[in-house]
Amino acid sequence: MLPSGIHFKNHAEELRLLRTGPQRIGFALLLLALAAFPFVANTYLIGLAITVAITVIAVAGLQVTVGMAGLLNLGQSAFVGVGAFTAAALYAHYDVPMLLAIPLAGLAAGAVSIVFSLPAIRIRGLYLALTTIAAQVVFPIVVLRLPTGWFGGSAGIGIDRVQAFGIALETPAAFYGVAVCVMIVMLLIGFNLQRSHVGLAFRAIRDNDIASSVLGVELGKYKIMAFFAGAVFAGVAGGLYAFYIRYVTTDQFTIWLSIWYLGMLIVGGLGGPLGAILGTFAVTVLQEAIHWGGNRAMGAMPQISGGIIFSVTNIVLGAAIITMLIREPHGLAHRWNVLKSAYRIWPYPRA
Amino acid sequence: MEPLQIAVEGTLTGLLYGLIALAFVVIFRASRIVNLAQGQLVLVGAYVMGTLLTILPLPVAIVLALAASLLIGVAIERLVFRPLIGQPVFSIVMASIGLLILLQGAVQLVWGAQTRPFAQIFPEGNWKLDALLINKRLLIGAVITLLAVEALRLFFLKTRIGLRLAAVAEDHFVALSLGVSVQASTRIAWAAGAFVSTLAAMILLSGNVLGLQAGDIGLRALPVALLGGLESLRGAVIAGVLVGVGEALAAHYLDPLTGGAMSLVFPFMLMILVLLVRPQGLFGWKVIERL
Amino acid sequence: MHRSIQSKLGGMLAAGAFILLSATAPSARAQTNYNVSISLDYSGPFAAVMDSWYGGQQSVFDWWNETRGKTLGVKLNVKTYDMRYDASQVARTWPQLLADDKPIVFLGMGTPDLVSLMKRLPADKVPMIMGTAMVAPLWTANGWHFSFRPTYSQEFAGLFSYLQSRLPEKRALRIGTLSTQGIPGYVDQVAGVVKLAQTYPDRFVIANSQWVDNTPINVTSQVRDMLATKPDLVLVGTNTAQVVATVKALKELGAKVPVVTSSHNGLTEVAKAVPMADLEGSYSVFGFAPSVDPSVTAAQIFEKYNKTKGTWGLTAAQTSAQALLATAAIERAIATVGPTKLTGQAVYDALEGPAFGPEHFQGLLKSVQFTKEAPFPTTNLSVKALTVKDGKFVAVSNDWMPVPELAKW
Repeated sequence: MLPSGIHFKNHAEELRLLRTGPQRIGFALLLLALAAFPFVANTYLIGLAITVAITVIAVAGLQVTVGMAGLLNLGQSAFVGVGAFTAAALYAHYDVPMLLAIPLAGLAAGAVSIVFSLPAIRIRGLYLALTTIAAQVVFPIVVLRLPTGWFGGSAGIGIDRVQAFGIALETPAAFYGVAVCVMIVMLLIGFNLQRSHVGLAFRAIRDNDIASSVLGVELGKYKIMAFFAGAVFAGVAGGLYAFYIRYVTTDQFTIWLSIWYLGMLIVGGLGGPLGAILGTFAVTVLQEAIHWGGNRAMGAMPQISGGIIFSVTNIVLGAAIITMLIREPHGLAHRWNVLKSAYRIWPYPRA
Repeated sequence: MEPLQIAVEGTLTGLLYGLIALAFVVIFRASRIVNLAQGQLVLVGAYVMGTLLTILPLPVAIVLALAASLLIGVAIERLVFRPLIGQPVFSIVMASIGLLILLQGAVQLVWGAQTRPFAQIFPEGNWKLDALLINKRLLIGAVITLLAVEALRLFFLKTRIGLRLAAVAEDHFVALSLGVSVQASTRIAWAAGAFVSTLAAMILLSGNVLGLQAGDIGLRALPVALLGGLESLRGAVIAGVLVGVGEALAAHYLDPLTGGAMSLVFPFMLMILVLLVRPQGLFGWKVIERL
Repeated sequence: MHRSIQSKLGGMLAAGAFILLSATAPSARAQTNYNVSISLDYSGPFAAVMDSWYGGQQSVFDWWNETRGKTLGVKLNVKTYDMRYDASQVARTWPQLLADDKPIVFLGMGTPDLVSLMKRLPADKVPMIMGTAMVAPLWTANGWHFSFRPTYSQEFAGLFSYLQSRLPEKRALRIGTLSTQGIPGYVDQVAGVVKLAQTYPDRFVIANSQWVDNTPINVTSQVRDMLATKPDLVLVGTNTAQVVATVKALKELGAKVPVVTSSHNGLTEVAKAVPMADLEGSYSVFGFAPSVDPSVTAAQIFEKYNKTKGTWGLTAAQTSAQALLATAAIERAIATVGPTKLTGQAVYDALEGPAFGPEHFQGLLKSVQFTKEAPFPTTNLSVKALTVKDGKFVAVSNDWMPVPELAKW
């Protein structure tokens, strides 16, 4: 809902991502804040921001597949892994510079996803989730069995130096800059995908795939495209991850991580990339709060043993997901939009 | 002789997969809820029974654990799924994912991460039939599985309550409009599902080490349920046998060639192939959708 | 008048007190404080054993501070960090840790520490000492990460060598392996043993390799396939569930073949689920002395100085050895550069120096010699093992079993 006085002269204007003046100012301020962040925060928080940025990209990809197109994907972490290994291998074996390796990693993950999404032409609904679980299970086995010269076999691959255009990017602040820039690019792709004709096709498929096929949307093509897009996001996230941690092994990408991505998306809202952002942010804040609180509690009350924090994190996330689904099925993004429109047309009630 | 022995062993293991898949199917058949947290239900059942077995005599512990599982199922229905009745399947799947995370955390919180022994309920060792060796524990488990399938089938197809549940499996609103209590059906579904899961836990862990990874078997059983078709009780068990035998044969004949990769990958390949030919699973309901 | 006498008296008393205090104060040699940072896991998968884990380290450092440190003029402050067994957490925390603590040595916990820090340590100039066994992927040269335990495969090789030399006939030892595909550490263990057989074909041969699920329901058919190749033993170095399944399968098939396990899935763990009689003749092998070995005096250090709720056992023994290696290196560094000039570089140089003899390790280790080619000792390795005899745990041999030389695989 927009404040009164805002009107558009043509469709293109209406589709713009930033439609009102205050929105544009707000966005500019946000960018400023993001740029200023590394100067005021300590290195731990910067590192946390980097991890959040990487996760946001992966979850945004999941949003494209699950939220936009309605296809359940339980193997996102495997695609992140494909991206990470590709980026690391390209850098370690072929000296591909980081800023080129990351997009290539995204494409590689997308290519792999096609193998697992081909059955989408025939298989629908929950049965399709099976193929994504297969991807998650097969991924470590395949990587370990491939020749050692490709992906390191059981060794994994290490990355020696992190640099772009000759500038070393190994400090947290420097890498933060890279990560946030990549995240903004990917999110822009996500937002644009949503309002493109491909996004419309995805939405049609999500709402009722049979009806949309009757209306002329080619199901097979768009379903595979949805998986491809989601996997590209995952691959980019994986590439960034590889350059951040600087060593990739297959046990960093488990089905548990896939499930957490899905959980974050549910909390944030499946409707759009905003859900990915809010969900990742909220869950990370929650996680850190629990760790912080748990460590304090352990210091004060020695009877509590450590495993508690790990399990409490899981319990809280699980409870959060279920609560969100019951109370706010459209996630935090919906709540955000409601608040926004209430604010805009105050003191009138929201229609 | 050798392929026969392998087939027998594969069948017995497969029937255990089938039992867990059966729990999944029971829940879906009675309430149209997809329970991705199936492995965690087995995990909870295992820990409850494991703990009871250390403090109570065997028969008492088993009965009490099974009774407790019914209560756990009802609790899950009340707290998680009743508010979600009528929601699209998607939301319910997401809720089960939330349940998965929650249960895994809850088990660790209550029982801790240490492994512990699980008492031996079934006899160990083999029975000999000519030259065939048949694992005692798994054979008893197989018998339990078959009995469970037939009992559940009787319930769903011959009793009045069971037949009404077919409406719920089709669509919540249709069922409500026909006067079928979806709440009650969901309760029955989850109680039965938890019960069967605990039975499976009993067979899986008898005489073994109990740890937090006991829930991993859910990941093997979910594809089995999908292969057999989400609504078919016998289908779950048959699919389990297919997967078990396929896995065993792949392990014996193909693993030496591929360094062990085939037996892990094979079940998935089989399932995808079957689903491509029959997208609703081997015995699932073929749903006619109206636009 | 009064006041000035009072103040004079007061002044004299104060002076007297001061002289008295400084005379009875600890020796005039100033104590330099240094930081030792430790990675722990209080909220991740290994949180359950953290008390014993940290107890081993804390007791060693407290003991060292009180005994050797005092005479050398060095005090080690221990700083712990909850890394949640998560590589991203390590990566996030490291810059702050480095800046705040400036540690002279870092005690790592497991793979996440290695993975995140391997590439950073040479630039940051802090040596890292690990407490777990290694895998070949981490066999890199010129690293700043160290482990007193070699790879799992090398530890197994020590036991295999001992057993082969005791075979009634002069032939190769037939080894059967049981592991899981898809998990890098497990796959690597088998790869190392394969390399062992290739290096010494007249002494060791791989009879068969079987691959099972990570938590298998039943491994009888795989074990049967393996028994057809007549192995002398079955290596299951992965997890407890697989050992339990293997032991049961062997019993079902009526085979009396011993099982060889590692430290983390050792016989003491397995005995929780399997009667001791079924474990008769099986082995657990580790790169340090078993905690029940009476020659391990580290146990007494633990008893005396431990402040955590942990207990002495395998975990505490392992981390005590880790901490003892750190203190041994620090002592050598003090001897080289003096107590006031300790840095990470000095400790690194100390670690890369000549071998550390058994006098440093309170019975836990025989000797540790690092070279630049690997993060763990590659020569003069020896292991100890436990076995079950007449229903009880006994040491396989009172002496250390040497490990045959093995090149990287």
